[in-house]
Amino acid sequence: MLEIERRIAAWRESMSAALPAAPETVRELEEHLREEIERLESLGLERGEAFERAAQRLGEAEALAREFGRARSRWFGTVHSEGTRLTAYLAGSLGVAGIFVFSTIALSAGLRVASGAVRKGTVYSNGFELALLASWIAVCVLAALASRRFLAGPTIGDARGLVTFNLLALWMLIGWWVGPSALSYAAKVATIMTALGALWILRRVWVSKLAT
Amino acid sequence: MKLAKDLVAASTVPLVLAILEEGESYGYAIIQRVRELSDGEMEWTDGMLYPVLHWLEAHGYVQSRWREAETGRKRKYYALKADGRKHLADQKAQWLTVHETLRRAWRIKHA
Repeated sequence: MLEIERRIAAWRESMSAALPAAPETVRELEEHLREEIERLESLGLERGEAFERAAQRLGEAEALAREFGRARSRWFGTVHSEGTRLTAYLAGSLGVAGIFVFSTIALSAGLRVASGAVRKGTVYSNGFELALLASWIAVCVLAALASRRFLAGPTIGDARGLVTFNLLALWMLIGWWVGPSALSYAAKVATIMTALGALWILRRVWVSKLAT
Repeated sequence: MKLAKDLVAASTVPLVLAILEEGESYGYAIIQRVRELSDGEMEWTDGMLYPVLHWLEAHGYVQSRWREAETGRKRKYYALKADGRKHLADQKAQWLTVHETLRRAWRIKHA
């Protein structure tokens, strides 16, 4: 390998170490480095010296990483800790799933009550229990809305993924809504979808420290 | 001339946006253009431009795409978006206000 390629590779290593989850950014910086080396060489500099100058102009890896980090918090205002954001994702996800589950129960129960198909004593047959259901839905709505406050950060794209996952859960719930027995299936499906969604987000949050 | 850090920092965004208004460009070319426009007075630390570009992209002012030149060199090109144009106009208005105020304070005749 040419000496210059070896030095660029070493430079790339230190950049990647300083910007761990931003390979595209490192690539962008490397292309810049190569272009500057070319320019300096065309001005008469010897290749090794051109590399030194170019690398110096780009700046120290740690300084760059700090600038990218500062830019990140400027993007979104308060960036809460990863733990806080993960909790918010889970709370929001459970909230949304809960809205679907309880709404389905309420709708089904409401229809049964309206059609008169329900006998006294059946669960969710009276106004009090329907009101209780409504309050649970309200709590889920609040949880979903409140969680949004904490979701800002480099992984903000995952919030959209979260919505997609829960829309899928809704689709499955509607598909399974055939009768009283289907409700337990729906609850199970919603729980599985939520758990999958949370695991997916967990992976994304842990892997991406910096947005590229 | 040694320019104050704050001045350089504050002028980075409007400068980059104005250069991108001229047309799509990539990091290296943008730095060259700044050098050109400032007659060499503004020499940015090359690396400092990239966080700004990423900041602009995160805010939806610019969008990026990779393009390969005939030489085989790969470059990330940035283009101004509608929101970016609005932000540039806003920044321009602010700077002109400050400029006008200073001009009056220093009673400089029109150049």
